[in-house]
Amino acid sequence: MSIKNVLHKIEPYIVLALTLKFFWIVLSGDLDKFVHPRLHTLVIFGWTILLTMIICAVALQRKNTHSHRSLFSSFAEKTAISLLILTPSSTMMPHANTQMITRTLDGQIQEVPQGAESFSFGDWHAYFNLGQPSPALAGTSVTVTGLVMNVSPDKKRADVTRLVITCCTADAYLSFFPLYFPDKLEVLEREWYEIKGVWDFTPTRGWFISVTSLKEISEPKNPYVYP
Amino acid sequence: MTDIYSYIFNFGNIVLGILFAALPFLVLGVSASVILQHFIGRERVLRFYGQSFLQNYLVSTSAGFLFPVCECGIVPIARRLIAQGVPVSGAVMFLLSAPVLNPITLGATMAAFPADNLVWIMRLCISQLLTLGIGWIFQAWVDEKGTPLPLLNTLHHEYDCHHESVLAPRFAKILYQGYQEFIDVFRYVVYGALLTAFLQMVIPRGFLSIVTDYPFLGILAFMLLAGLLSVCSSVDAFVILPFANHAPLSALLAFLNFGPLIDVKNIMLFKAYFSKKFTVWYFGAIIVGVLSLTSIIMLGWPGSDIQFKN
Repeated sequence: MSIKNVLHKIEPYIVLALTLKFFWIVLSGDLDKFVHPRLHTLVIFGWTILLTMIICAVALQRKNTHSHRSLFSSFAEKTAISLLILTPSSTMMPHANTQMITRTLDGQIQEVPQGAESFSFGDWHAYFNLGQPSPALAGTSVTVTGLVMNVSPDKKRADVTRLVITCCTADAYLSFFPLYFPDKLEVLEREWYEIKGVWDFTPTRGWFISVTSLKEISEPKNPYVYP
Repeated sequence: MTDIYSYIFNFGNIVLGILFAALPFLVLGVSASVILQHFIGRERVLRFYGQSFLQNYLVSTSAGFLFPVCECGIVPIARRLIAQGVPVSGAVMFLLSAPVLNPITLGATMAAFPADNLVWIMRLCISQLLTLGIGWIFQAWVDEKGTPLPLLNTLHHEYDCHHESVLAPRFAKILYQGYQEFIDVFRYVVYGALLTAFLQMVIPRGFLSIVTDYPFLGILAFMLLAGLLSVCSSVDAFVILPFANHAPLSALLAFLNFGPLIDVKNIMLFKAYFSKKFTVWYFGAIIVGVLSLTSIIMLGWPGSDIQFKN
């Protein structure tokens, strides 16, 4: 049997391995790290149909020993899929192209909602995306957890960030809020922190969190924001 | 070194994210295609279509409304329709209308822009104008004139192969056929996902800042972004939401109408299913159509091309 036909023969098994990786990710609760939760039911349904098809293919393909594809194409495709199967399901880190959203903070003024003190990062992200924050927001307590980035050399300024996923990891973008520290604080770049402070505004800085305390934490179970 | 690992893991995560989200739609499309062939049949499908352009338009858009699958899923169905003898313009109108007209996409657009009905209404209008315009061109050019246009690529399972065991039950054979149809296009989706992830990692999105200075280039930039992101049409309104405060309405509509019709993985899918000539004409018509309609909004509708607030 030629290499080409061997590659063809193992094809359903490789797709089966990718499918099993998908279900492993589902069972380990990591699907959130790839796809928005509102799509989970549909996605799992589709992959279940695919799994059924593959089982039929594995069962019925015994007599099939030939392929119409080129050796290179077949090899490249299987190598790519195998590498994807081996890719660990880690949390995506912000990279150069995810840092793109700067809020213009205009539009209709949004009143400060009830219970804003207990808002999460995602809630604040939604609030700031609605329009212009109300001046009454200044002085409101805020507690958020996020990845701290862009720490200034004098360690007096940084951003607290989270990746926002609207569909899947392909459209992830970075949401951030500026942090200002009253005193020089030991804050590390690209570490997760729970940050406590109050909202403040100046014409030069815009809206920012005036930090009162911060605590280094481990990465949360779900590190993304899903609008 | 950490950065290199971070880039590699991000690349892998983006590819897997696209595959996890897109393949189910492709599976649903392939399943619908196989069901069309085995359970509905050629005659029943053709009964709905006739000589009248309007009738074919209504049938295609109704089918688009009833099949709530996005751009990955409709390609196998459209190919099956052409293979079953449906007029080319009918299949083209189905391809053009289904990704936007389906209730999931429209509902998502309304939910993403709750304060302004203008967005979903304009999106729907542009989509239907594209469907009518391009559908009419294909009817006049291919269906009526009989211009020879090689339409379909031969898929692997259509070769004279006898892969399945004769003893297998019919249901298993149908599932196996579905698998074969899936595997024929699967590699193109994988290539598309790899290419999309690569482009996302290397092309800075800062180029979108041109929308404020050069609105026409903004339309082009948002069309390019839609093509590169390859996001499912049912959620693309949420993807563009963060740009709503920065971009003119014309650019937003270019994104919302171009993305569901042309993106990297879709181009790969077309490569598998349709001939090169058909693909070039189809995509060319969409590019011209979306550019023209959104430019009309930009130029000819005073007041619409100001900063749009969601």
